[in-house]
Amino acid sequence: MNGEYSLDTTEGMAASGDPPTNNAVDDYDAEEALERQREEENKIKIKLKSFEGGVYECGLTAAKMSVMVANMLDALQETDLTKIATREPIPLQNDAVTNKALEKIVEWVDHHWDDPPIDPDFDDEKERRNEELSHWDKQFIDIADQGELFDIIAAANFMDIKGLVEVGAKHICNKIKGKSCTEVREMLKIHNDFTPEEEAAIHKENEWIYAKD
Amino acid sequence: MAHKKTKTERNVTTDEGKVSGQQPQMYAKNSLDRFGDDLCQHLLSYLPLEDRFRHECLSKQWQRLIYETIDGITINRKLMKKMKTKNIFGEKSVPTLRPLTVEKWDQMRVKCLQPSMRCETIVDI
Repeated sequence: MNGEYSLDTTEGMAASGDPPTNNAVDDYDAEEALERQREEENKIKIKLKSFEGGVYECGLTAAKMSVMVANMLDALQETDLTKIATREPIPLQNDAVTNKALEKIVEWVDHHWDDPPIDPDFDDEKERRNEELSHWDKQFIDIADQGELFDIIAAANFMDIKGLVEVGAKHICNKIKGKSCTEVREMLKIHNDFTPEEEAAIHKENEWIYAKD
Repeated sequence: MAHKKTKTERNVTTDEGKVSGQQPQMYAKNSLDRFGDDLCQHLLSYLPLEDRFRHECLSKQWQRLIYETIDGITINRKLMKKMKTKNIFGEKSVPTLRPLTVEKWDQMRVKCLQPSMRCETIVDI
């Protein structure tokens, strides 16, 4: 009896030791499966229509980086995803979504479709915020025409593509770092709505920042 | 200049409930003024602290938003030196560095409270 009991216990312990390993394998498999599913889904091309009427094709997984598009697709309640491809283009009703902007946005999501989703509550949020832009992103966002750049940022904001808005934000902040007020105002075409007195008062308050090192 | 077109606030309602946000809101496409407060605030949240002081005087929109989302501030030695030189922290026990309330500081550590109290940052310098 004793022998059987202890044998049972050992087996029990072994068994209770096993599940985590199995779970880990399961988790890994599940991740793999999800990854494969995302990859497969990205082969399905859907159509997005700009405010100006231009239609652009985009992988499904990539398109879902836009929370707005993802929600619209969810609302269709289409179980057969391949049917989504044959549907009418999804209209993006905001004047910032010009043909040029949408073309660039599709280029960005197609390049970034397998990025991990941005979760603001996640621990590495601060780390990510402080991260430098990748070489690809730097080249992507370095757009000479500022109106076009702002269109892309506004459109990405409208479509709720957090990653792309962040790229735009970092780019603009990089450009204005260390510049003077006048330079920034000139560069970003910001209208100064302070009276000279008001401006001088703020300037005086922050005067210390201009102290020589 | 192009960005001098009519401007209004978005989503503004008067006390009487009349929507005053119906005035056309037109800004030049290449002007940052075209962005609403939410987006503008988000863009500015990536700006280093030092530049926020520098750019507060850009426009009323910037002044309103520039300190709103400080959730990770870095006061490096260089900036700290400037603050000390200008006696920003003063001698009082709870010195104020507008808009941050500096709770306590010594040679190595500054503890700042954001006005909205959404975050508390301890900075090692």
